[in-house]
Amino acid sequence: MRTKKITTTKTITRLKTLLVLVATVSILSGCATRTQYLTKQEAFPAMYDQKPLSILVVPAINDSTAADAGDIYASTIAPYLSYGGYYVLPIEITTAMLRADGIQDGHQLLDVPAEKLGAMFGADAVLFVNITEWDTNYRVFGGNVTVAIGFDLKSTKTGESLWSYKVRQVTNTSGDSNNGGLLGAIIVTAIKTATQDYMPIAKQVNSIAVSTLPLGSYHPFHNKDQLFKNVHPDLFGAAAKQ
Amino acid sequence: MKNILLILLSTTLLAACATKPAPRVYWGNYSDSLYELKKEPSANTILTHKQELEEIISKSEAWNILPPPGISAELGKLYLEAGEKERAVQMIKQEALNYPESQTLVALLLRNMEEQNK
Repeated sequence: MRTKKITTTKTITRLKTLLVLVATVSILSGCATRTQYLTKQEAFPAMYDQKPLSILVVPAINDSTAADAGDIYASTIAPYLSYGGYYVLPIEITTAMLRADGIQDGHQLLDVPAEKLGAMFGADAVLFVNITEWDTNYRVFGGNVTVAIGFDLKSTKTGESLWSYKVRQVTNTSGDSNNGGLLGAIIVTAIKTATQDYMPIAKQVNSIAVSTLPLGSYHPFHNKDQLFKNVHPDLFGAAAKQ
Repeated sequence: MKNILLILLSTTLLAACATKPAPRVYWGNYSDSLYELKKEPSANTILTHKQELEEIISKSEAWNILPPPGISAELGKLYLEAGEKERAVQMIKQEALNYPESQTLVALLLRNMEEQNK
């Protein structure tokens, strides 16, 4: 009887220690800087005021080392904007018309007001993007592909920025080291990185960016996503333009 | 036991028969065929992209949903470049019928085409 009582007390003490430990861990993890995401309404109020219906996508400003990054972007962005509920003017046509006016590259549009572009094509907003990184990095053990794009949607009524977001995506391209040992792994990585298909990465970047864009009038949840909280505090506004 | 098996089998078959719900908007392999065309414009890549656009439109019609934004006009542009003017005008006009947001652009396009004809 006596021994049993001692064991019970011991168990209780152990349980208490455990509880203290659990509590400490929870408190500590609570202290760890947890990202405070913003709602779409908090981040992009002008979007809900103006409710643009149509978007003109202009040629990207390509500051990366990849010459075809602009083409990959222009081929992949329209579906994502339309999934987000927007009418996207036919990019192949608007780009050809701009080219006929001597505009080949996004840099040439830096001084053109969004109002002017809007009047010319009949768009409510213009999407400017800056491709800052589009790089393939080789390392001895594995490599990666980094894509970074800053998005900026401007109103053609007021010229102000309605929505902006920056996405930087790093995709690992490591080979499988179990096949053919170390040398094999290095060769596999080099081949995989060289032939890395950029299309899926570009699609992913577009998808992540557009997920923060308030939904447009062709989406059933248009004007119902104000409280959706997924805007990273360090990636919108001025941060998107760096 | 046999009965249960029969029920399971028929349920599976029925589920397979049930028509998939229509997507909100259908883009098919648009991005891939367009990128191939931009990367290397040739008779072959142009034809592949044109067929992709035609298929996107016919599938959208079958689902009774609007073809995606810009697709009809883009197909019109390809028809025009192939010298099929009538089909081109029809497709470009269709864009404005589907999406009133495109009216300014469509009017501009049709005006440009007329001027080039003079």
